[in-house]
Amino acid sequence: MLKVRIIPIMLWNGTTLVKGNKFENDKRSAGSPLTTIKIYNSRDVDEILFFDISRNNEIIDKNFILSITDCVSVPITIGGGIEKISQMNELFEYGADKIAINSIIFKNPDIINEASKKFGSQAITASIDVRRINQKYECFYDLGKTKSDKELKNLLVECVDRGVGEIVINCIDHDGLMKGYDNELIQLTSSLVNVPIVASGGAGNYEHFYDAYKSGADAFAAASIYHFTEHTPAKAKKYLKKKGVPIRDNFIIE
Amino acid sequence: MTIKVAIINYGTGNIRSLYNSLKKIEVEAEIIADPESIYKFDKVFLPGVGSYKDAIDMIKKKGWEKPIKTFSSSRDKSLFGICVGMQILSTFGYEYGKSNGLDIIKGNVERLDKQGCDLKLPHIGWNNIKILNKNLLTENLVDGSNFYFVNSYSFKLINSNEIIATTNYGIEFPSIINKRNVFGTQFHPEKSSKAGIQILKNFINA
Repeated sequence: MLKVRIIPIMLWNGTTLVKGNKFENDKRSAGSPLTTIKIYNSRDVDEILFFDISRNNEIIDKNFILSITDCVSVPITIGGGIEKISQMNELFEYGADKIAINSIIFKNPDIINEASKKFGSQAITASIDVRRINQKYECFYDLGKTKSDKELKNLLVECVDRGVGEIVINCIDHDGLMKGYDNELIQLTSSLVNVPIVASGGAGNYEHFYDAYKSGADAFAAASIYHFTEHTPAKAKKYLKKKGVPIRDNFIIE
Repeated sequence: MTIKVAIINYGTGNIRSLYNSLKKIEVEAEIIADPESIYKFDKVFLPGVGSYKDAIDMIKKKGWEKPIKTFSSSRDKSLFGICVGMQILSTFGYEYGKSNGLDIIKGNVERLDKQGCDLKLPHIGWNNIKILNKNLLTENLVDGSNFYFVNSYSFKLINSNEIIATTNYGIEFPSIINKRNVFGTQFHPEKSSKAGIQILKNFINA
């Protein structure tokens, strides 16, 4: 049986890892990327999401990416400011398993078709940032700064039609607050598209993962809970297993 | 005498993570692009991502077909096909039309939904194996261990005794296979954390 996934998120500002609230990310440092990724890998997380939010990465820093990907023996998704097929090509070559795209979905959606044809749907993840304004979900890009006119519903369906293999659905209002995911948003997303859904934004305890699971999420991404609390991916798995959620047991030699 | 390990580079896929995984178990693999150099090695990995057709076309175009077959027929050598690298060991593949495989292990590679799977494709993520036959590749592995998969197709073997383990995704399909000195996994051991490392170790130590 296919398992749900526990995924730590790493936000890189070009100097250090950061994590803030509601996409205001430059306020709180969250440590060195190499130390952090080595810990996640040794703790046997299911996957890693790495976002470069520096916006200085038009030219991919080969050595830096290799230093990150060389540390992991689980799949890693890399995103942040990716606008060209050539950048994706380089990232795959340097060890990325999937590419996450956001702004380019709004600026040049045809690139989704091209990328999924070239690299396969399984390698292209759409990361969708959403705010609730007057009881309506609105889509944002450019690190949550620019509002799109596209309807969330249409956007999700369009992404999948064009070939993305997975959706990270991120609630900006809940981001960093650790009060739980926007489960209504997760439910809506999973009712609209037939690809895996990664819940993002708001996890603060293990029950929040379980709530997202019941809402239809296939994977649970989180940052603050691991950076700033005593909670660990391993304990999250234990908790979910007790609840009957299909998780991957950490490896034990017989 | 130390055993000599190589990874075939025929122009597909992420070889680096396999190379890094082997390094973790103190194996310095050589990445080889010259088909004739294969005979210098004891254990060889045939990796692969992408489609069956692309992979087998590249193998043939770059002159790997005969060396791989000759290599795999010598008893003191072993070959390990990963994902599409395992699939092309078959007789035929049906991705983007019918193509002839290396025909080292009898059987065909067909889409999972054609075989009765009604779940979302591709099958991506962590899934467990069920061990059917005891094998050196599964030593020190708990039955039910999880591995990382990315596949829409699976290998239907003619000889079911060559199936070491299966995985369930809508249907039961072979996830570890072995015929004499030729091994294959549908999953990616190099992306499967400690369980994957154990499989690589078992192959190297065998």
